[in-house]
Amino acid sequence: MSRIILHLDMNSYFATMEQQAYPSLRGKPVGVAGKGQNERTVITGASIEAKKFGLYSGISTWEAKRLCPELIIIPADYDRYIFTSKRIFSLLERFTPTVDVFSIDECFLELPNSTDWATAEKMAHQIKKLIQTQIGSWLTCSIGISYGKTLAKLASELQKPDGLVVIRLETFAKMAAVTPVQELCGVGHRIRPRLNQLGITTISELGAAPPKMLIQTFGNHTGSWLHRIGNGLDDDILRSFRDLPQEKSVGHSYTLPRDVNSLEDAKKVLLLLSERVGVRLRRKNLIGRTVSVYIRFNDRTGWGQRKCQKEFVLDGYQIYQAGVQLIQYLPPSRPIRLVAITISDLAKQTETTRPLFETDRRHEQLIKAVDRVNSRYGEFTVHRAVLAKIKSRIFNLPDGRVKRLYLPQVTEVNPFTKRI
Amino acid sequence: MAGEAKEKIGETIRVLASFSEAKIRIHFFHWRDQIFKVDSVNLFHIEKDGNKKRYHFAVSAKGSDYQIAFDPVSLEWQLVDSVITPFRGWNLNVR
Repeated sequence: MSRIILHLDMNSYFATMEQQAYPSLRGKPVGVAGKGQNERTVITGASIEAKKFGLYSGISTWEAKRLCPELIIIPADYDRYIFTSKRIFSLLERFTPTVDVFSIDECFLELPNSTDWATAEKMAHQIKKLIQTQIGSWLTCSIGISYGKTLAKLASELQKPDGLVVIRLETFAKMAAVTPVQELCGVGHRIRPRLNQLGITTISELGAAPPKMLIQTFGNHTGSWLHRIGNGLDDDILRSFRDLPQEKSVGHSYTLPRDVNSLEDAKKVLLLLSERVGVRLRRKNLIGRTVSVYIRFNDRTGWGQRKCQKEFVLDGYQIYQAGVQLIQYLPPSRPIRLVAITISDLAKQTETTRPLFETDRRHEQLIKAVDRVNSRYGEFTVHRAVLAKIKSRIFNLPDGRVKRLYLPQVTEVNPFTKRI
Repeated sequence: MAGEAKEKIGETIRVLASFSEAKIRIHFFHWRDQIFKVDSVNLFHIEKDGNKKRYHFAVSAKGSDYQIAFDPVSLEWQLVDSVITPFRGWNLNVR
């Protein structure tokens, strides 16, 4: 008996969660934004009603408002989304121990060997019902069932919202003949045009293409995968989220409320982001070596640099210093829209050599002590003195707690980006 | 314009709740000299900030929606935000 994989995709997750929490938003076009109304940000999730107006994740709020003037913009509440997501994944463990988390609102389930296709369909209905009874009645999900991960994901994409599609080995050829190749997860805006140039538009055409040609065009790994998936061969292994390997990188990015010209302003943001990266790194007992900086300009072009450090770093300030070294190569003249910093090449702290010198050891102990204080009393309770200058701009949550550092004040505004 | 928008409130409120079998049930809350009977709890989540935990409840009362948070250390309840449905006037198109 072939294995059966189930893919679950929560429909319009962020926006539906808001509609679940606030029933007065139900049936209305809702856009969840990174920040809130009247701030420069993007829509991170649109409700099913908003999607009918052509809204999608990543669209700027002003563009979204242009497409849908009735749009209700709600600031994102990631604590809520993450908490509920974990609850959903835990519920799914009632059906199988192998729940492979793909993203905050998507996961794969490898059903037990004894499961047949009819039982898998029944399980899918049970899952939908369970989510609605245990989490919220407004939440819907699309489920795809197949014998592999990519095909199960494809199946869930084929019917939205609240869909249930099964792709069996016997039905693959029929589906492949009519399904565009870009519906496959992994065939994006870069691979699709190149496939189209080769005369490949459907999945079955992909399967019929000579493997040699695909390998020559896309390289060994991607070429062979395209050939296999085009022929319905889908044998990716699932891994439970309980025993995931460690992260490959830790990073943060921030879209500025307005474009900045000054590199010094960009550095302030970089410091905040670096501190956050450092905290997350230490919380996971990790240490990193390669620091990458990414800057996006107001014309939506980007610039990035990365450098492997001589030693592993875990301190936010060290990460910042590495970032500052990279940023000096930044091409001048264009206003900056987004700043991002990432650390990769990670290792467990326990697996690396600890500092030899007393001063370094004491510094490390100091950072850990600060982490303990912040862990107990909240993020940035104790912070670097250099951040004190911007403390007045610390964003206060309405309940009076200080939760996240807000942006440093920009010293100048680019007059060319001012919208009239 | 639809009119609905999430409004931050952040005020301490008084709540009548019951605690049993590791569950918290909210019955009424008192805010700005008004008593609100909770019609439904729509969603629940726990927010962690360091070692601190706060229990958030999205509730509906008097036709509007509110988010209430409970701090188990200070035993304080707060009204975090609300989505108040605006009054759109009387419907005079009576047939």
